[in-house]
Amino acid sequence: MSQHSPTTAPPSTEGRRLFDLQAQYIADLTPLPNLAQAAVVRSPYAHARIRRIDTRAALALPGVISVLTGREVQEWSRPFAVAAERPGRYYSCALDKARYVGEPVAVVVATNRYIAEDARDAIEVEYEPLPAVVDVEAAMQPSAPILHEELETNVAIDRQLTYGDVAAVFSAADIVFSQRYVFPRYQSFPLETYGIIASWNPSASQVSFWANFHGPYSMLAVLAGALRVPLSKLRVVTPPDVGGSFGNKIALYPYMALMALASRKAGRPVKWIEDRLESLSASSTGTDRVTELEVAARGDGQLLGLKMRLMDNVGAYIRAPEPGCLFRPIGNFMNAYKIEHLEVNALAVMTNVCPSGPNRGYACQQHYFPIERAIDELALKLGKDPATVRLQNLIQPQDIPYRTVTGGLYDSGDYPRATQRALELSQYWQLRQSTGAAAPSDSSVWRGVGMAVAIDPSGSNMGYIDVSKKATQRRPNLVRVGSAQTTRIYLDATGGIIVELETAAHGQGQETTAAFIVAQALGIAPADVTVIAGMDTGSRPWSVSSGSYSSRFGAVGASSIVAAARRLQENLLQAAAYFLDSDASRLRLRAGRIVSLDDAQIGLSLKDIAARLHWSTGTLPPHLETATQVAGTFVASALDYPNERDQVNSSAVYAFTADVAVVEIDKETLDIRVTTYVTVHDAGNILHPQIARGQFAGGLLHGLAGALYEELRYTETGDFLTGTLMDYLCPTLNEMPGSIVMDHIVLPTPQALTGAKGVGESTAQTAPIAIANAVADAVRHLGLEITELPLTPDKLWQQLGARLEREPAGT
Amino acid sequence: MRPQRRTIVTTEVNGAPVEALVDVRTTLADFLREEVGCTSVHLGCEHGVCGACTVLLNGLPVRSCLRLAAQAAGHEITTLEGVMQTERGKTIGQVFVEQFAMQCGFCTAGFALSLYHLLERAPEPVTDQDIHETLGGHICRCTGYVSIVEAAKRLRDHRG
Repeated sequence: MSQHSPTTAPPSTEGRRLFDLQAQYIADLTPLPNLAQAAVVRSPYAHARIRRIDTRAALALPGVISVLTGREVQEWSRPFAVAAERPGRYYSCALDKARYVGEPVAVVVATNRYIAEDARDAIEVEYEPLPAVVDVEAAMQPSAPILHEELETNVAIDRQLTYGDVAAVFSAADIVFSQRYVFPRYQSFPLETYGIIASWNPSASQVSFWANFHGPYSMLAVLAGALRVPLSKLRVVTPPDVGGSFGNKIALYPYMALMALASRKAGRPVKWIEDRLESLSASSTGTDRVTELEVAARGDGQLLGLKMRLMDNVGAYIRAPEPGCLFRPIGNFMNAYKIEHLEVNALAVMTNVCPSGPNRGYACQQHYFPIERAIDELALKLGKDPATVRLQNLIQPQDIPYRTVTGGLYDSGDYPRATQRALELSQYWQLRQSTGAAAPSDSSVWRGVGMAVAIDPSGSNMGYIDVSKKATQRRPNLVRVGSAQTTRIYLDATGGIIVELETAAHGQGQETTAAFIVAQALGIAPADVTVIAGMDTGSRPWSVSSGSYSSRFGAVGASSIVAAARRLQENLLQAAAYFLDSDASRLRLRAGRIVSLDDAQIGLSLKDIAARLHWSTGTLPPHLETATQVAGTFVASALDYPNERDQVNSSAVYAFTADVAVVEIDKETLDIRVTTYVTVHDAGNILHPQIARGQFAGGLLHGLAGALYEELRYTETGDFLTGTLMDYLCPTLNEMPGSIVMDHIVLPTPQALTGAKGVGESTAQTAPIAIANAVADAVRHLGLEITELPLTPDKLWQQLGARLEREPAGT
Repeated sequence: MRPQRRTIVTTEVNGAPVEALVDVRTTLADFLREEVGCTSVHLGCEHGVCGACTVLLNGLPVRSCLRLAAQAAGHEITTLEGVMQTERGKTIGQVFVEQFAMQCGFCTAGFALSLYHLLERAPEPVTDQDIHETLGGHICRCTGYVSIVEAAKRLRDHRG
């Protein structure tokens, strides 16, 4: 065993496994014998009554085992629970009515996928098409088609939240203005689609899954409820390798229910790997939103208050963890600004499109887009620079820890410093001299520079979601609060260290980071730490908040690893004290060895201690009997339940991001290119520099995609238009900014044992906004307004054309 | 006449002869994954855009989701399993691992194979433009391509 404390971050364990050809993704697994394959019959209509399903031709095909339809789904399961006042009855499969293109209508199980798809095509479904509605504002009109007749409305949630004295600041303001903003529907498009192996065991009334599910494990409670089995009878194994999620796979659980029922019907285990059309049309997407924003400010640029009407299109069924898009960022509703007065009308509306869900940066880009666009508008109205207005309004370092008016506790940070750093690195002030109207007229491009800042919340507080209910309707006997994670560490008989991850990672390099953390704590080499990846609810500890989501590994997951490593350290000292007949307070762990402070000759190696603890169990005193097995649990502090004023600290820690984008728009083609992107983070302590950097760059890709390329589009009648990569444009290397500058400042959070805040979602939140602000800067002198994304050449062209028609001469 | 349902495919995968009776409609990707056991071949889009299923057919990168197994008859197929038997493949793996040129890893084999082809076949010198064109044919959702480009340039600069 190498005897040194590592200071250099180790290379990728997960990557090594890949090149050693040992990767195990869900599609690679055949964990059970007799595995059959499923294909899903889906509605081609956005809204249609299902009159008849004829499965005879399908069942007659050789190799076809069974067909599951809504009939059994209704008999064998219940609607999924969700925190909404008026939820639709959401089952894993349409019963008598389909409500979006791609909604499951039946499941065929056959001996292989090719036959299952033949059978899928042989199933006859008679539909009666109904009028559909896809637009969130249209769906709120009294004349709109109603998706769930029993509700008599499409509005699932309508909440009014008020903080401070909004009326007073609006009447005292020097300037008040309003604007409507549209944030589009896109999904983070993990390259690996959903995959599930489900096995229904009738005699044990138990159901086992292998699936690329990664939490939050609260969704398993929803799943167990729908399947009408006790949570303890449900086992979920997540393979060591998961091909990305970015929040998308949180919504895997309805398909887990569907495949469990398909297995029940087939009488054998069933495997289903989603295809790309299914993924784009019927997995999960970010929520599209229309915001009406009113801003009140002083004439000097000081922001006083905001009024926001948030209209979320949650798709055909409001599905947990929605309405998270409305409430997940509640503690940081005011972003990084010192604003004390806010009024929010939060609406979740159901329409005939795919149900929505978390998408890298859950809700933050939707929430900050109008605010950060409006700050640019405010600055212009006042003849000031947008950067100056931001710096003027940022919460100052001496105000931190800062309690926001909505209940958030900003734990650490220096927002002006990080913002100034982004401005310096991008040469913002110099650039401002030559953008928009100031650009040379002989240039072939219009140039713009824009910025955005964002509080990046990490470690979701399970309790925030109850803000969706009025204080009087919350259940006082179930106060849902917190975010916790457990990690177990074992010392084997030869001194080897085994770390069992319980976080269900999906590409974040957590094995590499876990080994590094434990190696540093014990003074051994990362290579001497074995990390057990994946997850298994049947054999590893978990709770409802377990998993990898809301960027919680750095602050919460990794803190549980630190807690476990500290406990093992303490056990090693106690064991050495016993074996050396010494006092533990006179011993230290140094470079994988326990040494005496009194006599350098006295000490025991990890290997010696391990051997004695394992081989001499019969002689050990009680306090050392389980010394080789430790569990470390980290519970985020300062989390609370929403109070009667609807305030809640919705996240364990709050990081910060400040970004500057520089764009060029071709004057002839209106092609938009991001030439430079600068992103500066304060994510606290960085646990692994290369992994953190990879997360920032990946976040940028997702934000760039949302700003310029990716949109899930429907016709007015709900037909789905973007089912392939020729329609849904994922950026390649050639769409990335020509120059990417990533930097960070380090202000550790006192709220985590690691001192780390989140890194995973940060730039995905800011990039759509910084790019929009840069484009707005470039085209403002042409009279164009930027209030919606994605920004495409044809959208600019339409605006430009409309303006030229109005004012044909000049410019 | 009833159409032919099955055919015997005789081919060479990663230097080893393979003979199998397959449905004529079996894609090359499914054949490689399920008949031959090459699970490094990943299916991301199944319509030829994302590049995750890239394999080498007689040394040239192709999308295995867009070909039939039957079309591989008489040709040599190389997957990551084969490339990792070569020195260049091992170097690519080493550099990718050190540079963190992957996160979830689902796209990685495709990138590695196209890069292997570029480093094997391109006449000197391999320009930045060559690298951009090669890597630009693949979709990665995790890395923002930053670390993949760095790995590619490092491999180019130390090309033996």
